[in-house]
Amino acid sequence: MKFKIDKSKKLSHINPEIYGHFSEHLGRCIYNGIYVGENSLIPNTNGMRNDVVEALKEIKIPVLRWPGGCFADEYHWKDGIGEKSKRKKMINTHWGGVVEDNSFGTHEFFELCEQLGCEPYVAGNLGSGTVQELAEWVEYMTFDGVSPMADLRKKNGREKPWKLKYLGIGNENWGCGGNMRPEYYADEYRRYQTYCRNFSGNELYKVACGPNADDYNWTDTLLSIVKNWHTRAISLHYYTVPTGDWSHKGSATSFDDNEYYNTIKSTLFMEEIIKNHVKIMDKHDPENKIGLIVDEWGCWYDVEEGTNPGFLYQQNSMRDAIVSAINLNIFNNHSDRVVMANLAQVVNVLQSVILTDGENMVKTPTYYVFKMFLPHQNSDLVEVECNEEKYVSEKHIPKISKSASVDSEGKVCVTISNCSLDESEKIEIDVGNVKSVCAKIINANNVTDFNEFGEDEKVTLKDYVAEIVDGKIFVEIPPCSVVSLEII
Amino acid sequence: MKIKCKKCLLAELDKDEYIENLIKYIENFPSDKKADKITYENRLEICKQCDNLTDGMCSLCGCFVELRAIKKNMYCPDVPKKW
Repeated sequence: MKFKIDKSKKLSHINPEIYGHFSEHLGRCIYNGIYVGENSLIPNTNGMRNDVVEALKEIKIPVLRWPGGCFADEYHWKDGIGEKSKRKKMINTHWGGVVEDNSFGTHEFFELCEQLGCEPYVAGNLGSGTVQELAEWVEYMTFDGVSPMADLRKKNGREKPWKLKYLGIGNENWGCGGNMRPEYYADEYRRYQTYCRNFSGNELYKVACGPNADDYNWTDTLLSIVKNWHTRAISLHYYTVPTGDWSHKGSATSFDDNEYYNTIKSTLFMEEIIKNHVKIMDKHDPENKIGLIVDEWGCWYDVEEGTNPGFLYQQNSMRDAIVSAINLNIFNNHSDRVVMANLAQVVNVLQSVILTDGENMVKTPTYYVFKMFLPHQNSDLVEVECNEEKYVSEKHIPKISKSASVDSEGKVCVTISNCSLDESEKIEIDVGNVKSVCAKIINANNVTDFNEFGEDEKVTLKDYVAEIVDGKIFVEIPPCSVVSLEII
Repeated sequence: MKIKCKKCLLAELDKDEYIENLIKYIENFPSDKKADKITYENRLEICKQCDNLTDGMCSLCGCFVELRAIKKNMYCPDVPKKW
């Protein structure tokens, strides 16, 4: 294959937020995964696990969505403020009496974001809350001066308001967030957002609940009612399910070649649905003022054997690395509309970048893809002209996924994945004057390989080789691998 | 068409069937990876005394303790470890 890249032809800006994450009060994502409390023997700073915070800082996590998910539309923020021993304790009797003691609330979330150096993205409760409750939360978080909510915040130990940019108003309101029709949600959204005010120089970037997967009617109806003066973006949720059967989704680490390719096919559907939703957005918003935020995406498998089905804990293999590379390349290539994406979820739930078990932690193959793709954050997308499309033999699945960007100093980053399990691909890349190239690779002996607690990492980021001949780059992409090239 | 999400998927699970499958899984666990009978029983005795145990599940790791304890190389997820 031959790629031609003209780095002077910048197509769109790649927001760092495309590399965002999502944390929910679900399973062991927040409690034990991120937050262990100040008195834990696990090393922590104000209750946040030091190992997890360090690992997330290493991949420059740009934004973190919280508190859900489905949980957001049941969350009442006043339960999670004030003296911890007095906070409301709730027992989830479904699947084994898990206690939500609200010890992680608004103050703790902002503390976490400060430690991580990332933007907070708060998902507000529209499904079971009230306009007043959400309006007061915004006031509590952002009002500087004398007001009932600002005074309450000060009483709880925080004098200055926080900066809050991203505010989601409802979550999956087509499903767990109230089973609403798009017409009804759109009107409710307009009402709720009216009272979410910009206080004290803080400017909210409001996000409306967009469609589930390929529900194009939701997008069309929503955007015929909600306009760019009501919202800055709409969300989209799409999960990759290998078998397509929600009752038997398949194992995270035990699967055959056929199930692997079905996973790839399922994940490639992301591009089709983004294109189709963008067409509808272009119709309603031709000036491109409303962004698309894919704020839940990733692989969804059956839970690990013997773990609570409600905790959604799954391992993460080389297959997940290929899936995440394909999706991140898709988001880069549609960064004119896709302004943010949030992998579900950051720790211990679904396709996580980090897994914990007691005091131990592993970085998953997906983690290393986020690390590899770091140079794309805040760069500009450039076009990759390709001389031919190649397919995995007899599968009609595109073999190669790619995207390229140029940073403010002119350095080009190209990320390429090869989803074929047995065929490598030689690629010649013409970027113009090349002085040097630095290559990295993520691959494994088997596509089912994963990083296990207490063992050496089987899937990690390694140095790789690319050659420069007559000013062009020549690189071989091995079967089932992800390769990056940083070119000067 | 009913749209599925995390919550309704969980509600649709058959809890009794799931527990039954777990019991079968424990019974058929490969003997070379299985903790010996005394170790297994000792581990479960410790779990039974622990505040983190609810409805057969450890809230620290999300595992059903009988399945975690049956694995020879497994350990208690608490810090410090109780077994």
